[in-house]
Amino acid sequence: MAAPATQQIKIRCNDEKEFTVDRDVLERSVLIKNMLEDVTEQQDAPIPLPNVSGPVMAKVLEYCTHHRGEPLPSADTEQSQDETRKRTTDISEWDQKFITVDQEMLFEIILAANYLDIKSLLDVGCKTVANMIKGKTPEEIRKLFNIVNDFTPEEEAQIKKENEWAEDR
Amino acid sequence: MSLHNCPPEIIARSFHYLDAYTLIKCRDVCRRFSSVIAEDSDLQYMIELYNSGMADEPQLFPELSTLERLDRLQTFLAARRQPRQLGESNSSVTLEHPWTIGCQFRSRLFIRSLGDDTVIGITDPTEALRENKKLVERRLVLPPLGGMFRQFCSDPDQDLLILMDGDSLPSMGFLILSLSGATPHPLAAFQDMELRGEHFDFEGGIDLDIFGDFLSVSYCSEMAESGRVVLVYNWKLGVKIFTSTTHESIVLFDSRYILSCIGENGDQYYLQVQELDTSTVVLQLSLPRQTKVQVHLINGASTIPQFPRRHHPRPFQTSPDHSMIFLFTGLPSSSTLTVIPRSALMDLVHQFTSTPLAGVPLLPWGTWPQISSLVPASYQEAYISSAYGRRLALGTSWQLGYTSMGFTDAIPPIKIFEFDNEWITKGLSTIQADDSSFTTVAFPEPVQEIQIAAPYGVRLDEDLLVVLGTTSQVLFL
Repeated sequence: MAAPATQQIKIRCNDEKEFTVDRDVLERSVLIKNMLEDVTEQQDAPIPLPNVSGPVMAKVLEYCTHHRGEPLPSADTEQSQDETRKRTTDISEWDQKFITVDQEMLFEIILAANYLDIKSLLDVGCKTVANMIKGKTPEEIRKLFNIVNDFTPEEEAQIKKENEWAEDR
Repeated sequence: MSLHNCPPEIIARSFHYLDAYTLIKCRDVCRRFSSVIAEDSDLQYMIELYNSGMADEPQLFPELSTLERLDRLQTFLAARRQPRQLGESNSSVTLEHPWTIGCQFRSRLFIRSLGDDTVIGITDPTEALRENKKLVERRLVLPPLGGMFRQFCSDPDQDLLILMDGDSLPSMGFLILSLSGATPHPLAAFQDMELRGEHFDFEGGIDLDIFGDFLSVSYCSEMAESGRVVLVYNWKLGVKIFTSTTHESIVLFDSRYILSCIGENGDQYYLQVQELDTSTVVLQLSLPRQTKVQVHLINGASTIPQFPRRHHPRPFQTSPDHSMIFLFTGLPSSSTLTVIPRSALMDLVHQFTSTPLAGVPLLPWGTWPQISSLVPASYQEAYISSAYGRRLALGTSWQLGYTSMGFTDAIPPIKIFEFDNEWITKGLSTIQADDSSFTTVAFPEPVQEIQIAAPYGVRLDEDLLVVLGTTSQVLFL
């Protein structure tokens, strides 16, 4: 039976930060939704979320609040989205503004979305990463994400050789 | 926190939003990215598809998983890197069946007979004709075909012979054989491809042709205005790429672009580039050996003489049968390429014109994209186009001769239809050629257009040498 919209749920993050949130907002997270469905009795103890910190959760809740009431993607739409997903990196205006954060926060949000199973937020995050990468050379990508080139000189030579044909096209 | 430390599924998920070009860049960033891509078959497939210059239409073969598609792609990319040559013939046989179903000059191949004991003769007919020798044939005994043998095509560069069997769709299938006798052909796994979901009407016959990885199937259909439907498949992937109902317009094929001849001016001809997907075009020209070609990209009204480095065309493969293949990328959609074979065309014309009709020289065989493309400006009145059958627009007093290339003891009569401007049949004549000499048909009155028709089983462009000309000018058709 559907819970009344006004039901409030408490959650506790890994930094002891607690939030009290409307149930329908929290149910954007498939993880929490399933947890709540498994629990039949009213519980006063906050739901522990050991993988998410307070500041990140605040951001995630901002997203969930904005998108509350929107239909959750079902398995069917997920499949059709998969097909069109590849090329479409368009992000809606609100989401774009929302995700304009520093890299640290961006990846924390992505990891949180992954853990909490909020697919639409995960997509927004991954699209943002893809948009950051697009059109960049390997060196620029390394710089962007602070990655060390760990290929050996031999491997590097091999890569260069393999790419020659493609590069030249 | 960086993308680098994210779990692999997050990295892969982000990469799924990338285009193949960027994906290749990502692979070169670090080991972690490289292994994420290597372990994701979807991403691998994108890269292989990009490298192969092909497009995919997953909905046509929904039962194939990405993994299977990737497997096919990798198999044929490997095969493509190692082209095989036609093997030497070891034995010759006298064929019991007296008639020929078809032949292909380009591939030095013809099939003599069919039935329970289908035999394929492999020979070089041009060589035999030049030397005035009997053809030496090699026998290939075929595995049982699923149905009635229909058509075949071949590509010696790929050591490839494709037979089409079956009576009608959807049971139409392909049999892939090795010309050199290697069994099984390394690409035999692809033969389970079937043409499906297409309406075929075989009344007018069906033609197969192979252009590298691309198989063109053309057949008659009342639905098509020109009476002919052309389907282009990537036979290795089992993917349909293109459907056209105008046979004439198609010259060259690529998975992502269809190039069609849209006009000519002097010895230049223009190829329309039609974008099917993204950024690569392969231009395959069949030209005489050693021909130098200049290619310009014309974008709108302005010519860009210098390609940007990435766009600069260069031959990346030359094959023994005269063709040169160029590869372009990043061409804007609907751009026009001008292809100017320096000197080649004029040389060719001189070769024609200097020889009287009776002794027409054997010309280098190749797949001429369209004969009309090769006719220089001074021959514009002799506009020739190829469609189902051959249509010729003539000046006055032209002569037509034809002979078989030597595979048939009795040459079947061919029919000539004459048309006026309104495409109304003006006259119909049947001519019977002699085996050793050309039969000449004169057209004393101006004729706008003629169409030649040969009986089913004789491919005009392959079995018959048709010559059109006057005593001073001879054009090869």
